[in-house]
Amino acid sequence: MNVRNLAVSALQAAKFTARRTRASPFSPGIVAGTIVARHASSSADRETLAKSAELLDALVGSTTGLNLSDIPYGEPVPQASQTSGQSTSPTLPSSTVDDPLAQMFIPPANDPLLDYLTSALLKNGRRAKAARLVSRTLLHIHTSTRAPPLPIVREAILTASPAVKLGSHKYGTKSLQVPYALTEKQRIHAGVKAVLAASESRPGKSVDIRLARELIGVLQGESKAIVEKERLHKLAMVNRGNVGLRR
Amino acid sequence: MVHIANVKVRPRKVTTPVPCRSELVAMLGCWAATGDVLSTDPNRCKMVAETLFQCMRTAPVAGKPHKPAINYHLSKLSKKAK
Repeated sequence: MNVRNLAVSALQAAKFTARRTRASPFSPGIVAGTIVARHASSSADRETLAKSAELLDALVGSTTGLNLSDIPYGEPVPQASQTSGQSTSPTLPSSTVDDPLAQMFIPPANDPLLDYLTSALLKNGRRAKAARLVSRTLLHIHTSTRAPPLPIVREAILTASPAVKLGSHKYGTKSLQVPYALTEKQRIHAGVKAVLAASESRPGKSVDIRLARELIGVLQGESKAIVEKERLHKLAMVNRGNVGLRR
Repeated sequence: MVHIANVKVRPRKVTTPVPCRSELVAMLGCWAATGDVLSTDPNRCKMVAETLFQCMRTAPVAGKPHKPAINYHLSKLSKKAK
């Protein structure tokens, strides 16, 4: 299943991150949509790990490949059945202030942005291949940066997305360029298109390596996609008198 | 009495209303004033761009306006002019 591939690869990336970032003072509030691993020292953390194991069971199907107690952070994690007085189904605690689960972000099974990227890479109906490319792109980003790849992808595509579009309207004999605002979906579509086009000029033998390099390059400020975006925005700025033109 | 066989006019061109027009104009004006065309600087145009994005998220979908049917009505009148 494509979902499983993506979820498993993301989990593997997170496991890799967990092993690398031991005592990193991660602020979970900043990085949304990723698994944040912290030093599992308190009983609340152990409860969180137990609850997340149950949720992962539901999401992925089985956690036999991912042993949460393998993370070398000291005391072993007790099984879900051994936690005192807890029911088998995960229940939400009454207060959100003491809720350990609120500090731990567990991504959904399908990320809409990754689905969008998969659709953009789709050719001849081969969705499994496209999903594999996206999975490997995330892996390449993680190996280059040692950071969670999903926020990097999100930030890069948003940085490369233009905010306006120029429509050509004929008024009499003249053809004028009129700037229009774009919805979020239109912006993402344009950003993904720009990133994929710019990634063709990157070094690398396969699409996933080139795409990973391009996404990192966008965040570093060196990308053809950003140059194109700047050109478009300048054109819109010059034609700002044509907004909502009626004749 | 003047006999006009077929009365037709060229009706005014109807344009779809632009959503979030004021926010768009504000952002384009900010770009022209500061030069922060990519809207990355929080002191310059980043907040203005965010306002536009938020407006686009919540703006109602503008349907296409009704095309003017003036020629239909005129064609009805032209029979009476005989």
